Amino acid sequence: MKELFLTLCCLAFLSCSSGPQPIAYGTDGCHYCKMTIVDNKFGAEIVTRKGKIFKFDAVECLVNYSKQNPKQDGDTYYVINYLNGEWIVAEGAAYLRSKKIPSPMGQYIASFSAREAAKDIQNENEGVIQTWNELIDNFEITKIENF
Amino acid sequence: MIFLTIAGACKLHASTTEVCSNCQIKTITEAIRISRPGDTLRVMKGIYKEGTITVDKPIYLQGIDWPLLDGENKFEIMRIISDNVTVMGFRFRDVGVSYISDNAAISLEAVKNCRIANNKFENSFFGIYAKNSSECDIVNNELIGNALVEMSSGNAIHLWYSKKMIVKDNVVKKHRDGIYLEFVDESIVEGNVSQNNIRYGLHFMFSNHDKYLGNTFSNNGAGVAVMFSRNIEMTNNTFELNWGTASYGLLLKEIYDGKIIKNKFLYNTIGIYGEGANRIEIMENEFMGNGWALKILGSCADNTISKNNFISNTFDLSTNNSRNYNNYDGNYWSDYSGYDLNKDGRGDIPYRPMKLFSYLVSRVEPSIVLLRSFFIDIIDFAEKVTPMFTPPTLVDSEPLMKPWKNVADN
Repeated sequence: MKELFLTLCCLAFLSCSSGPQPIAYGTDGCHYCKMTIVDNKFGAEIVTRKGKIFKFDAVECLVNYSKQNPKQDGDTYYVINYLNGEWIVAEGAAYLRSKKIPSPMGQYIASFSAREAAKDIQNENEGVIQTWNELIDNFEITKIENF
Repeated sequence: MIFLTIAGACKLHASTTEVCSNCQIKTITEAIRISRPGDTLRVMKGIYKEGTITVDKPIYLQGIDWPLLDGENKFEIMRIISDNVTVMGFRFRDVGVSYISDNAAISLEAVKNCRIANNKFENSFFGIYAKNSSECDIVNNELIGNALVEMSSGNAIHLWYSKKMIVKDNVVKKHRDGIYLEFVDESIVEGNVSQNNIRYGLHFMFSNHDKYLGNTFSNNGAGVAVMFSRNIEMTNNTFELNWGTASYGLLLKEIYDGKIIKNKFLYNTIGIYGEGANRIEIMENEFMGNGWALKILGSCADNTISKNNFISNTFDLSTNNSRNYNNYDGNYWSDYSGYDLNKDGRGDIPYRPMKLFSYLVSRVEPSIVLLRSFFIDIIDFAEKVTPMFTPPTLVDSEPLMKPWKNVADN
């Protein structure tokens, strides 16, 4: 009886994961701009240290959000890999800023797992590859005054 | 002899070429190649599979008896790269779907003064796509898509970096977004019907000084979303039947200086959702049967909400902030139970449109399950008598006793 109980507990805890939750394209909404997330080459997510999930339709929405709500210890930022739709940790990704690759909220950010992966796309489309820190430093918050 | 030669050389009038399977000119591409500026091409009934047709001269293309231009699920059908082109009376079908490029039935690329009118589009990826263009009319077209999955569908009418465009009297259905404007200024979107699109009936961003008049947006997956734009006017539109967890009759995000007048918001999950909406006049609208008529977040200020009719909404108003920076005077609220002793048409007691339960739900969303419970009725009543949690200035000090009717409408 005790073994059964312990097994059931283990099974229950197996379903708790701390990684990023997949984005349900077509259903989930962006936490910052409220738009439905539809483009599976783009997306971003914050998993807070308590396991709360915030989904975004584009990296620029995550950056806008984090400028207003600074990152806490234990929070993890994830971005969607433009090539294969999988999660990459934001700080380790390479970002291609190309006028030929518009992202959902108009900031032209496509994410790749590494600089080399971005190079091929860069050669076809021009643009500049940035690291996470360069992206943040050069980012202009999407504000009505800018338009 | 010399006179005739001179007369022949000055071609003062434009010529007309007929295109059909039995004519001398059998393809539209050939007809365009031999045409001169100002010519008319009459394309007769038939099916034309010509890959991508590029219109690089200012000519008038007239379809007779609905000729069909077939993209064969491989191609973009027509590219217009010249000013002063008119395309009327054609059917477009089966644009090629691509995940890299935005293939359209008709693509207008950096052109002026073109007219796309009275055409029918079936199963287009993008229907009519205009970029870097101005002063073009997109009028009286019917665009029926085949969108089942959000990722592989395009928008019916998509305008990008364009100015002074007119989008009028079109019917757009079953695309990703019905009408999409990004960086589009001084344009008019009027009299369109946008229904059954997967995401938005209308979506515009970074687009200023535009007018949206007399359109109907219904049964769209997420309603209508407008963002990061200023000086917008939305008048006489109908926003209805947009249900879903992320559906809005109208989503206003970062909208400054606008007028939202005489619209109808009927049976939506949320009538108007405002976040970062400032200096907007929301007047003479009808909010009926919505889950939330108005959800105005604390970041909205200097808005005037007046002369509206709020009838049978589950929640008339919800906000998440303890402060109120907007004016709510002079509306009709169907839940108002005050009296009017001096018969001036306005209630003698102010009305608080925000129920405590509404505030509770905005902070703890799952508490919606308590809707219609007796407990909630009691605390709503207590809050009405002695408001403690809802913002004190969130009040209609002159609630109307009867629904607002514009005298001019009678």
